[in-house]
Amino acid sequence: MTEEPREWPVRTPNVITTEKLTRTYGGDTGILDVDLSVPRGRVFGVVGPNGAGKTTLLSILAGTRAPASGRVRTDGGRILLCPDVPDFEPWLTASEVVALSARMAGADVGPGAVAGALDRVGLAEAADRRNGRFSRGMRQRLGLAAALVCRPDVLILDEPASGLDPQGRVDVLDLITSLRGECTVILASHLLGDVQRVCDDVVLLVRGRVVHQGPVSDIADQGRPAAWHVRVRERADHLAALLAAEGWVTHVSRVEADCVYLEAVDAAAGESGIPRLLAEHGVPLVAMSGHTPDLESMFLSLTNRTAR
Amino acid sequence: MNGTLYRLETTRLLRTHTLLLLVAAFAAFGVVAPVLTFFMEDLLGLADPGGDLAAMDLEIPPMSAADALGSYVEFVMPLGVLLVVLVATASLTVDASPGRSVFYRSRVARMADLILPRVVVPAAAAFVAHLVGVTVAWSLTSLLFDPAPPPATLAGAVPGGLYLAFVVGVVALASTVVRSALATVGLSIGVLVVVAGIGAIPALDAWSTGALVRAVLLPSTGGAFADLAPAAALTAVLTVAAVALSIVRSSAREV
Repeated sequence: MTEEPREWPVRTPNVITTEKLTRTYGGDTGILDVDLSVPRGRVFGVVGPNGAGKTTLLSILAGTRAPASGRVRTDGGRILLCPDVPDFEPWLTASEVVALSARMAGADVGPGAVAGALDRVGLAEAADRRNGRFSRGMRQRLGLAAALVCRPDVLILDEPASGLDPQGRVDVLDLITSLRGECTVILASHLLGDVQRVCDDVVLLVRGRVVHQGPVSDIADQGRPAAWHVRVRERADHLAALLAAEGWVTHVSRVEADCVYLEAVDAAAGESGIPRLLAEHGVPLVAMSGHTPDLESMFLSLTNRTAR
Repeated sequence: MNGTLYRLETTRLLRTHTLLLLVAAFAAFGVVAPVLTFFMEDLLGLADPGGDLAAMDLEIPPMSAADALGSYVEFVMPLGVLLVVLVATASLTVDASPGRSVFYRSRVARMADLILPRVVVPAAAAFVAHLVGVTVAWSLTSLLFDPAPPPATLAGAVPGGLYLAFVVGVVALASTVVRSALATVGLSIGVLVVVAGIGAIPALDAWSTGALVRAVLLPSTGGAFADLAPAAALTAVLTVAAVALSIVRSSAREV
């Protein structure tokens, strides 16, 4: 048997690209000149402080809001948005919601696929219960099942784990991780640890503008200042004042009664400067730990820098 | 959409007992109206034990089948219409909840797919309820008064159904102007009151949309359905326009 030649459709590496996307609501709210590239098949995180424009961006990408200017190019098929508080007709059972979702979207699915979607989000036992009495966390899971059954090309999740208990959060994050390659996931979350754990790429919005975009793995290579937590026997205010007077200290703050957080111009300056300063002033040291670069520290660093 | 959203709306009416309550309410109007009319003189006597009204020498004409059916219409116009507004509002305020709005809007191809079932099914339910109410009213009226012409009286429910469809169309349009259920009910009632006020102008009497509900009286009063043609035509045009405009507005709306 000879194999017939097949042509595979050429697909661009980015499933969504935006150019100078702008939508403002007066003041600092909205988004401004957002250039974004969402790689296909990856988990893409959107982070930013409250009012940074995350929801506006997600809504425009999902097509539920229009940009004032700029362009959105999509090379995917179906784009579905799961809002942070999903809501359904309260008199429908969980399986009816999932089946309705599939039928509305034109997805040809049977009862097995509906049951499978509910099982995947941990709602198999609640399949025949009306969703009106579901907790917020259960509704979020139901929203995920209702989206997954439609086999979306791009799944946009707005705070998908915000209403979940710790175990539920872990389950949902595992689920999102398992979607990598199956569809492109765009995830907005305030829980930066979650974003760092499941996302391949991240964009940071501050006051509607993109201040960082790139792979999460690059965060450690951002050339950020070395940072430490220093815990002492006495009150930390005194130590904070001493550190603030040092030229090699770029930032210092008291985080607990006996603990300060400080950033230095470089690692070497802190590694030698902190022990020297403690010894010179006779400050008893209890513990000192290096602050590992993570998304949260990058977030704070970049948002503080932008705010100044 | 292969009827999915029509089935959803039918399920809503059945599972929330809305259809049952609507039909029961209109049936109750059909019972209460002829009975109240039949016992009107006795009720006035009970309400006036001192005979003050009698002393005023008021003459109450004998009640007829037309009065009984007219009493039914007087129940339907404020109370029945209010119920239909409530039922339609429950279906049409899709955007009252952003979470629910996103669920529907991100899945349907066109907003017409979402809105039309939410107009057609409540309008059909309102027509069924009105037909049941007219049937009950006609039955009791025939029992208590002179028999009213049955097919013609029941046919009079059809123009009334058209008016109730217009009411649903007004709710559909109102739901695209405001978002919450309460605001939608308030705006719809406001519009319907204004429309009724315009229809009350003597020069516009023939075009009054509300006159369609009184079609059940025509066989008993000797009127002709043809007299309602201008009102029916105007109501049909307004209904289609309201629904079309609601689809356009809803398509342009952001959530």
